[in-house]
Amino acid sequence: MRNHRYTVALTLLLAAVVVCAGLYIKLYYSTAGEDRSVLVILKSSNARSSFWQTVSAGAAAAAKEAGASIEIEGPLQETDADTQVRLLEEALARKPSAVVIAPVDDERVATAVRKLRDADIRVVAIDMPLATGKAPVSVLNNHREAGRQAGELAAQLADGGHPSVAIVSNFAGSRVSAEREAGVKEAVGQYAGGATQVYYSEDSEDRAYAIMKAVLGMPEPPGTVVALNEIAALGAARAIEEAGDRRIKLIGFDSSVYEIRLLEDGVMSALIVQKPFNMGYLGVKAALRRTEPKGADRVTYTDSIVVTKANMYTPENQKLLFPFDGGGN
Amino acid sequence: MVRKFRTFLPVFPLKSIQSSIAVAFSCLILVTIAVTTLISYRLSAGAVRYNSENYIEEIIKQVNTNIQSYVDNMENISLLAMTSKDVKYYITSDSFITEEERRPYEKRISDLFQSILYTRGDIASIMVFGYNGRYVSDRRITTLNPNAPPERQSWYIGAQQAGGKSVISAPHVQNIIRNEYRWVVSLSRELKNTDGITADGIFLVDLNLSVVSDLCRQIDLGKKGYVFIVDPEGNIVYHPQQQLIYSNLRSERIQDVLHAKSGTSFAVSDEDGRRFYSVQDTNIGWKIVGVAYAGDLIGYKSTLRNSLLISLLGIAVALLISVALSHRLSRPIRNLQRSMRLVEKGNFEVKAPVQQMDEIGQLSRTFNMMVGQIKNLMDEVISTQENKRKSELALLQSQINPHFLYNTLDSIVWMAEQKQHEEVVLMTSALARLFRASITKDQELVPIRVELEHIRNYMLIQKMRYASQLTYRIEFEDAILPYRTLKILLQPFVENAIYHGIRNKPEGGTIVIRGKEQGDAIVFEVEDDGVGMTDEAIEKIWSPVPMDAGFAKGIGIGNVNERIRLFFGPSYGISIRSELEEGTCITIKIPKVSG
Repeated sequence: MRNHRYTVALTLLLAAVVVCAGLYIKLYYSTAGEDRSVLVILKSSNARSSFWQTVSAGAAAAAKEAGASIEIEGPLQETDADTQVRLLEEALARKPSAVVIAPVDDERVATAVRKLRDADIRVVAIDMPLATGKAPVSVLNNHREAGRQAGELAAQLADGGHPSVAIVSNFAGSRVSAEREAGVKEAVGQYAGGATQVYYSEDSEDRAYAIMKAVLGMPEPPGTVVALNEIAALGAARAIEEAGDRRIKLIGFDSSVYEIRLLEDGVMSALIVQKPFNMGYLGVKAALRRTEPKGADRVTYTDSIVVTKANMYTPENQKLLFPFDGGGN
Repeated sequence: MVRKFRTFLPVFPLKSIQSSIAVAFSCLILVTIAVTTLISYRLSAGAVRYNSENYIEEIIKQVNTNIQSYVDNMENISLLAMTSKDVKYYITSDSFITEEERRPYEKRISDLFQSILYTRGDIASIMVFGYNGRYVSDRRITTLNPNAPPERQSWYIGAQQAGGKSVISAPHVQNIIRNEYRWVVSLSRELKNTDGITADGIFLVDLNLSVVSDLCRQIDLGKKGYVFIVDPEGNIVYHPQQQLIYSNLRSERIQDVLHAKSGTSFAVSDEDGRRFYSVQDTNIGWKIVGVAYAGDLIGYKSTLRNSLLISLLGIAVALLISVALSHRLSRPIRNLQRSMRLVEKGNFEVKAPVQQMDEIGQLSRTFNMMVGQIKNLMDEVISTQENKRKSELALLQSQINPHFLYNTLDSIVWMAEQKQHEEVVLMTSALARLFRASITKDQELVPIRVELEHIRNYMLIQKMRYASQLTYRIEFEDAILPYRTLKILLQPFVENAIYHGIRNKPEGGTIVIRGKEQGDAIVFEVEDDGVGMTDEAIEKIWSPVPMDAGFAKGIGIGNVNERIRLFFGPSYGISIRSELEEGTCITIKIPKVSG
């Protein structure tokens, strides 16, 4: 009966090998990407926000490339922390493979993100870092670098040196504006006689208009005004258009049809434009990476470019300034 | 436990036929299935590739046809404008239209354009620019963008250079109308005067780029596949990830595409995976490219997985069958083995079951016969040994035949009383030698010389007892003396000759004992001229004497004969020749055994 046991053992062994091979192949095929899912929570899912629409287009492109399924959500208002917290809590129940979030600057969002990470769900922060807590893998807009680009440009525009720059910021406590402001100051400060003056428009076009009017009325106005967001830029541009005084150069941030027209009209000298498509794309790509990166690789910055009237219709910049060809991207 | 381990651990070398058969079958089956699976995989992979290439090509052709039809439409619209008299009059430089008459013309042209636009959702705008500075669009009121004068636009310059032929631009943001920034593809064409030589203005039709991009986006080339378009210079007309390519986050094989001929396809394999590029030229110069990933071509993976599962199932079933089959085949062998093991232990009563008359059945039958044979031989050996023991015992008894001893001692006593001292000495010493010879038990075979001595001593004693009644001669050839013979072989026959042949004959008799060479054998003869024997008596002599019959009877001729045969083989032994009243001659034949 020894022989019998022999063959039984052999059979079991072979059967085990066969089963293992089968499972291995099945697993190999099934983990090749199709059942991974990414949830993207934006600051705003408003269809009229071309910035966030472009972010979601980039995110969708990355998901398609990896063969993963994707869902994109977000509050209508960019400051709606409550909705973001609710979406994050829903994500905890749905358990996607990864969550990509553009966090509202609020502590409750950071707490909700930490809960997700505790549940072993990969989280990638895009646009801005979390308000508090340990930083997840991030794909961020380098606002400081963007500010530096604006400052450099302001210094170049002041032909005779001694760049004097007025900064129209948002709120004193806004992190984005603070970063950009610091960048501008840093760049201007490098030049001899470089001076900056900061004003706060507090998210009001009219206030920005008033600030610009006041600047124009100064006996010795600064050579350049840097408006750190779109609203401030539009307000300042209105004041310049009304005064018809083009001596003061205006540099704005972000891009919209209004800003583009002002750029075409020559009211604005330059726009510092970010690359939201790349941000969405890289964010989802990082979320779908097999292993979480370590050290310096945990944070990726997307760059921004300076668009002037001269280069605004090159193929690259056309695509950046007018991301949609009417059919959604 | 140790034993158990040893049987489990070393799988090879295989000790049982069953596992050998099972392994052989399994290997055979595995190899066969592996080979067929591989071949069918290769065939199906080839077929999938061929089909998918055809499929992609068909789709790309479809896209081409659609784009072509859009362009043809724009072309038709431009022809319509060219042939419109209103347009001609309106933009002609030698215009007879006064400023007052201009409005109705403008309205009519605008209405024409508008009606075209209403029927065609894909057209973004239609405009005409006269070299006389006039322009009309499909809108009632057209405000041109002061920062983008038409004369500086590439489509305007391109049309002027083409001289009457239509020009298709690359996709661009159309910004000539104030506050309107639309992605379009422009068809522009210079309008000729009625004379056909001088040019009057530029006609522009804008196609919404979304029409093209929607078309490309709707194409389903698997989960990851996509369609893109490049112009002859390698600039991207449409690509789903155009921004990534501009930012160098992604690269596209534009050079390969530009070198590929229309209607061909090529495969690319890099870190993004294996994929096929299918290229199709449009007659406006664009190249439409379909990219499909090998990994997600329809039906490819599921069929592959199914066929893999089926072959795995087949392997499992085949393995089970091979084990069962080998078990079934080796069962009779194992039964036979079990019987053999019993025989090994000494049980000769075993009979291996014969189920079928195949090879194993025959083997079993032969085994059974062999065991039977062995059993018979064993029995025979046992009885032979027993007989040998008995005859040896009888021989021993014959050597110390007490009657012989008593008679001899009586003779000695008698001779002593007669004061025949010399005879007493002679007889006593002969008796002593006789007994010494017969008591030495160490060897069964002795030289013939010793046997001769023994017979001499014996005859000496007998001669003294029977005196004149017995005469004897011993005639041994010298040549045979060194050979060996069985100990005390001749004494029983001489004894018989005296007691049964001579003693009962009143006038006495003669005994002749001969020893001679005869070919390869040695022959002894004991011949007497006594009373002789009847045939019945001879017959009786042959039957061995039962041992418990008493000492007096002595040793039987039959017993001696048996002893010789046991020792030297069946071709040797005893023969008797006897005549009543004539005498008896006993012939003993043994082989030459040299000492």
